[in-house]
Amino acid sequence: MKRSRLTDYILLLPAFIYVSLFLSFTLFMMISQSFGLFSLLGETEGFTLQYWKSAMIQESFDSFFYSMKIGLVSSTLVVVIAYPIALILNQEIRGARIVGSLIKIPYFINAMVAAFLIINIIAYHGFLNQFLMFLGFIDEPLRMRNDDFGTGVIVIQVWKNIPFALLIITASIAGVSKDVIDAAKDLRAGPVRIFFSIYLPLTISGAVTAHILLFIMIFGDFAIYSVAGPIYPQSLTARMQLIVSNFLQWEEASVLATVLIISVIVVASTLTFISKKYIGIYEKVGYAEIKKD
Amino acid sequence: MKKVSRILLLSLVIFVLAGLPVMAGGGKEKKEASYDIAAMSWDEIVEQAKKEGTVTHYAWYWKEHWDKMAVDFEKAYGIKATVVVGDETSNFNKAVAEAKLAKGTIDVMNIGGKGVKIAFDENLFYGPLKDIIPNSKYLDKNLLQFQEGFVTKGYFIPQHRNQTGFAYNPDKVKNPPRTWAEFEKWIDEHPKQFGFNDPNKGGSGQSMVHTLIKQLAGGLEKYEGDVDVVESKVADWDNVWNWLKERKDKIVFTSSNADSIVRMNDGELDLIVAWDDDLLNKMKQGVIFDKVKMYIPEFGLAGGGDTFGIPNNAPHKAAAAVWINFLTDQAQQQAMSDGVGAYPARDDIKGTKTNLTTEDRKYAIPWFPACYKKYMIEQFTKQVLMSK
Amino acid sequence: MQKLKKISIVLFVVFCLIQLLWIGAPVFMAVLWSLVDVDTPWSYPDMFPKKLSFSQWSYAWNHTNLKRAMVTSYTVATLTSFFTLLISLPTSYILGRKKPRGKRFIETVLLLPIVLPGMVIALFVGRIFTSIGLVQSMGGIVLGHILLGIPYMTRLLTSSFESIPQDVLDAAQDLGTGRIRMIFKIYFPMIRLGFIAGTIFVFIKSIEEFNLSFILGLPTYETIPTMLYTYLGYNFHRTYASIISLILTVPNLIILLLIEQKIKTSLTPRSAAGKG
Repeated sequence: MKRSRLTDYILLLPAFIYVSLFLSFTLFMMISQSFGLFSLLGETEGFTLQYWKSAMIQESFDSFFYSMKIGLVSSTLVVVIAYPIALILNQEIRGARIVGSLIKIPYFINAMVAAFLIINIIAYHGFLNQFLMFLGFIDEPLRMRNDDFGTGVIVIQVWKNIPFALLIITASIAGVSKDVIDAAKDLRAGPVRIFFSIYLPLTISGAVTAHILLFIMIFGDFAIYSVAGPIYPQSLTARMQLIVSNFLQWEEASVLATVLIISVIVVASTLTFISKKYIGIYEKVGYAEIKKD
Repeated sequence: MKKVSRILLLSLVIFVLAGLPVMAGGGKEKKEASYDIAAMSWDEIVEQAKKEGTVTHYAWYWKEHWDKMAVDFEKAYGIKATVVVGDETSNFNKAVAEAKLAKGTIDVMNIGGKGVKIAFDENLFYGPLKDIIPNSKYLDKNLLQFQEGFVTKGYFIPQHRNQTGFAYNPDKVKNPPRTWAEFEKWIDEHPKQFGFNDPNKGGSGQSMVHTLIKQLAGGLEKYEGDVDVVESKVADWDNVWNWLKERKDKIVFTSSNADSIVRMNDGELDLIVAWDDDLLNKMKQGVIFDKVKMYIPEFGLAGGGDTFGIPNNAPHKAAAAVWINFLTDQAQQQAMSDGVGAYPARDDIKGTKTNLTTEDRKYAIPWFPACYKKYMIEQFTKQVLMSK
Repeated sequence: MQKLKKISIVLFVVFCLIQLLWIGAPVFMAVLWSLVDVDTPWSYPDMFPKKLSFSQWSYAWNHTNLKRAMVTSYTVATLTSFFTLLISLPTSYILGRKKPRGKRFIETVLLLPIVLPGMVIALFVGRIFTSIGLVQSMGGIVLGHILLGIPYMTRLLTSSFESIPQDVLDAAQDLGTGRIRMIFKIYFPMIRLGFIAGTIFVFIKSIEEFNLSFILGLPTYETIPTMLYTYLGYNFHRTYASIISLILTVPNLIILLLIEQKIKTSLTPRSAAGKG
């Protein structure tokens, strides 16, 4: 018995060790280099805060806020759009399955390809401008590429990520038991009430999970920024990559990477915290209302 | 259940064993060769090169051209040339990463605007090559000594020359601005139709800002010979930044040399700053309409060229030298001019088909020293891009 | 009730139309751009290209790095899915059948590689690999891709293992089925779907991966996505970019749509168990 327990643990190791070694090395290197330690190449000069100081310039702040803005806006938009779609797809209508497959297409499209596809649409000579001009809404094409706010990037992120959100939200909506809905219908609850009292409280945790994962993915985006982002500021990861490839300043890049990871953790836990409070309230309200009926 | 475990354990062992050769592939060592091509006669170099039999060249454009050259080279010398068409920045990062090894894997590298500074900062290259490569006496004297404002002291052998200029859409622009006054007026009258790329992302944008500095901050003579930025000399660059800031909603900053050209094809921009070789190449590739015209305005735009260098730890230095010499032969330079349309580094090439006439080229100006260029790009970011 | 149904049907139709435009238009544009003739560029203000041909396809095929990139991409992806499978099998088996202590924790760790920002991982893995001479090698890229493949593979395999009903195993054991027979007659058929889905998924993720290939491979090894990066970046070229995008995307899409239903089945333990 004991021996087989041991074998179990040995067998458990390969993938676990692979991932944990890789990631712990990576994160360790990242954090220690930001303090000037363990430079694998070149000289190590000992603990210093100088890189934290030299990395904290206006450019870095601008990049940070850009990534934060795009991350929060896009992930929120995606969830807000995907949620009703998931509800619609949950209805038993013929063809829902085919549309369900179609809508997933962007998920399987590489981020850079997605960016390129959308750029072709919003370019000066792109489909959208031509279409609007054809309809007579505008006389001259609009300039939507590399706009300063990052609208183009947001559109691409939304396009690319809706399927991912759908995947998670659909699963949580499918988890709502039919019996509860039927019971509510028997109590003559209208569709609006059913939505607010049953669907929303039961599925909001799925939506929040999607929101958090999307935020992390979009916040760390490199590919879409580099294809469609504004000339300035750069996304945080793009700035990191630039610092490394053009100036070989690993230590400054490590500082930015550390900031990036910390922000991801902070935002994710804040969202979780808020949603926990929120879901708690909703659950109470929802059940109370059903009971009242 | 035990057997299942055992079989899975076995597969783990197989994995490790199978993984070893894959990993080992990265660390193959090349045979040591100890000779110095600087101390050898050209015949000895050629003989040594034939012994080596192979040369690896890193470039980032013109794959079709290199394929042809390599075939001819093997016919002429029996040496196999492998040209890896990579990416400018990655090529240099690779060279930097390999610099500490006794033997690298790169024999020849193309050096463009981005690379010169890293090349010198990291002391990557072997040289000077000027006296080793016989063809260097036919090549552009200026490019042999200076590249992008760096004094290169004959370390790099010129491959082709290029020049920035204004490109325009002749259907929409009948009288392109030639003088400074015309240019300022044109921008005012045609908002958002003139564009150049962010100087962080390409040389044609750098050239434009460089010209603005020449025009608005008192010429270029005062910077000559400087190795470090002299504060007093850059004091009046504020004029340039203010000029740009005032026109921020009239000038479009694009994201690369190529992006400017694409946007002109899209009809978004009618007047852009572009490299002559890049534009010609893009015309051939069907990226932009053929009617596009190019010229250099009277207030001047800078030019330069790309060069070859041999890394210090190149494993086949002799073959590298022979390959470089081959590429700068008259026949090969002619082929380059005919094929990709680049302006050759030799003066004895017939029928160069570039977009700029000799008449235009008299307005070409040299770069100021490289330290100022770096400072210029930083300041452009801070003063123009970051100001909202 | 009837009214609700009607509303949702209308909504559904509208939604389908939007969907068609939403997905169809971008793809259509890419196809159109890839067919632009080399001698007649598609310029403003033409609504459509004046001439369509495969000339750019044949040029891109013959005179760019496309062939080399495809060979690299597909070799890397094959090696990656093979090794990811080998590494993930034992771990997933234990996770799925033995329910060890700390299962949740281990599963979370296994998911981390796809949650952490790809460029951050790539840059620092690149740094470590540079110091041990693993950059600029196929092996380095494969090792990196395995890291990103493990989350998908372990996930799919674990749920396949979980879906094997214990009574089937017990019954087989009671009948004195040999261990090797068990593997081939029971385990393998039962996890087959997860096995296939995982391999295909990892294969496709590896083909699509950009960050690690970009940092670890260039310039010596170019994959399809890193090549695309060049044609979307400093060497912006719509037609080549379209061609490469299509080459990168279309095979993956076809495979995935074909196996999609199967992936879903193997992801939900109960339905798979019901079938078994």
